[in-house]
Amino acid sequence: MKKLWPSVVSLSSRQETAKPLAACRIMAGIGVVASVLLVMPTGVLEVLWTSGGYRELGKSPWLVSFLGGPTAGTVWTLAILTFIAGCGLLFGVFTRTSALLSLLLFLSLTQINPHDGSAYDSVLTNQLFLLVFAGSGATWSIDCRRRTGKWSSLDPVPAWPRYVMIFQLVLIYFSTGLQKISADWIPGGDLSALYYILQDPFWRRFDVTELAAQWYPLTQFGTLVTWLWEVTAPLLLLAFYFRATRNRKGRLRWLFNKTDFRLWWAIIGIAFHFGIHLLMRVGPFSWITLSYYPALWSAREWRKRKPRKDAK
Amino acid sequence: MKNKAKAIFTKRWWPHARAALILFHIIAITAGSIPVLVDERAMTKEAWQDPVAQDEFKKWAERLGDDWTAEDVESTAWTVAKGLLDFQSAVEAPFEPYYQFSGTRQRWRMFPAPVKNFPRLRIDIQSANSEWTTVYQMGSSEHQWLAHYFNRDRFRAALNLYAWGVHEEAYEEFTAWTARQAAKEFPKASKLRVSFESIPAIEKVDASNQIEGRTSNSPTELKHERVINLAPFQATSKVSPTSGAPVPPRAHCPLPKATLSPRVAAWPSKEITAREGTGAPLAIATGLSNSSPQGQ
Repeated sequence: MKKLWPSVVSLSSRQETAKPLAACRIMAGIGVVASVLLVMPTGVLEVLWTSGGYRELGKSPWLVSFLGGPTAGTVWTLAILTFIAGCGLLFGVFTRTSALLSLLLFLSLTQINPHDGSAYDSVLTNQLFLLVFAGSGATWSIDCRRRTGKWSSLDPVPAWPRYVMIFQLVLIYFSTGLQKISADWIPGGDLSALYYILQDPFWRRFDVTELAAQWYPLTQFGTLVTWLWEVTAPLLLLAFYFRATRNRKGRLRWLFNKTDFRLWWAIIGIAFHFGIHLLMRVGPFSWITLSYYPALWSAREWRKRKPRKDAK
Repeated sequence: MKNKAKAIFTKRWWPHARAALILFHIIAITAGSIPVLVDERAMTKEAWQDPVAQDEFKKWAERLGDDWTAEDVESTAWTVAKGLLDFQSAVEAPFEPYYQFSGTRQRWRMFPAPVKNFPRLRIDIQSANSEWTTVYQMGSSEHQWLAHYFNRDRFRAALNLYAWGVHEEAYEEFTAWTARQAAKEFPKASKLRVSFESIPAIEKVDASNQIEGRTSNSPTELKHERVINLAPFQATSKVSPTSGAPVPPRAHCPLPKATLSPRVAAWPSKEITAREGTGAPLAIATGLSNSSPQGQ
């Protein structure tokens, strides 16, 4: 522990430029705005979240109670404020305050009626919580423009929020993968999970039943890849460890570093979320989860990947 | 002096305090992510008797070999599921206030087990000549009444819970709310029926690439069926100040009051006829109640 603690302190004290965090912030801001816009235009928020709605609501979150309970006026006010805070996050206006307000307001709204909760609520609030502490407004933001006169800056910010985002992402996939315990998911059986899920009228975007039946082997392949990719998510942490210790020996380390493991991992993840969004109606789940992905690379690594204009 | 103290804190203590706080956060989110076989709502013997759950036990018994029977698998799974659930509850309990106020709750049960009998919301109204007409059917482009509400992913998340028999009281409230909307929209209708059709999945293709199992003419079973007399809702002239919907006169309700909220229990007598379907808690047994990105 005596040796480990200084490493933890050193890791949590690292600084880097803010571009990956700014990209996460922009995507999370869009996520907040989209989540609110999905319930505002049709007035479904009044049916779901007000005392005049379809069910008797339980104890309100403290902010809703403070504002007089879940009346239409309160809920609309909170939704509009959430929208504004989401825009603040997206454009980087008083960025930390916008992140904090987005978190508080979004939590207050979504806790009014726990029955309509979505997993993307938690994915988003976990991201917002980290953005409160991240210096994500240091670049690509109106805050940056006001401070430096430019839209981007190389000012250093703490790197630890990006590290925690990566850990959070691994937790989400690993935990959900381990809980896919059906014989239809786990290799060795039918691998028919996706085939059945695509038929579910609750979540499917289109009726692809017959298509899925005709392409059954493809759905089996999709089931296998999904399950394997989720349960092996901790390999991503191993990849970061191998990159940090690239000067040490070992075949596995060499293999992980030879081709950037993160890149392949992210390509599968993006394809996976694109497939979910294309075939299933699960709100902005895919977008919000993908808002963690820019954290997979530091700004320095981004620059290395970017082709230089003067390169011949 | 003040500046010196501040400098000491910033340089010496703050890095350690920050590392400790980050570590606390990581421990908290890891504790909240401990996987479970089923959630707390599904830890009932009744839920585990569901045909899909039983089918899972059979499949696992076949995989594990001749020494295992479906009963053995069920018994072992029960012990493991209970142990994991107790462990998870104990580990995450100290962090509960942290999750609550920071929004860092970790529940990632998404599609843990596919179902093979899909629920689909259907709403019918009965006209004066006793004919039933479907006005809403989930996924239908023809029957679209209130689809602008029900097709929203948040509403579907709630309906998914009710389809599997979770929160029955809220389901009664939902059906009564639907009746209020129907009374406004269809003033000549006499009754409203809310139910979930249970649609069997299409089984796999056969060797000649033909689809086996369900056809479009296959019969569907209605579950959680509620038939509501609309007359009391239409008779009232009172209007809710918030939703603008008619407020029915107060009277007792034939359903057991213990299962109803005061709001539903106070509605007109004989207006709701509950015909509980075989609402199988398979989703709960297999974890489907939290089965999707929607279910938390």
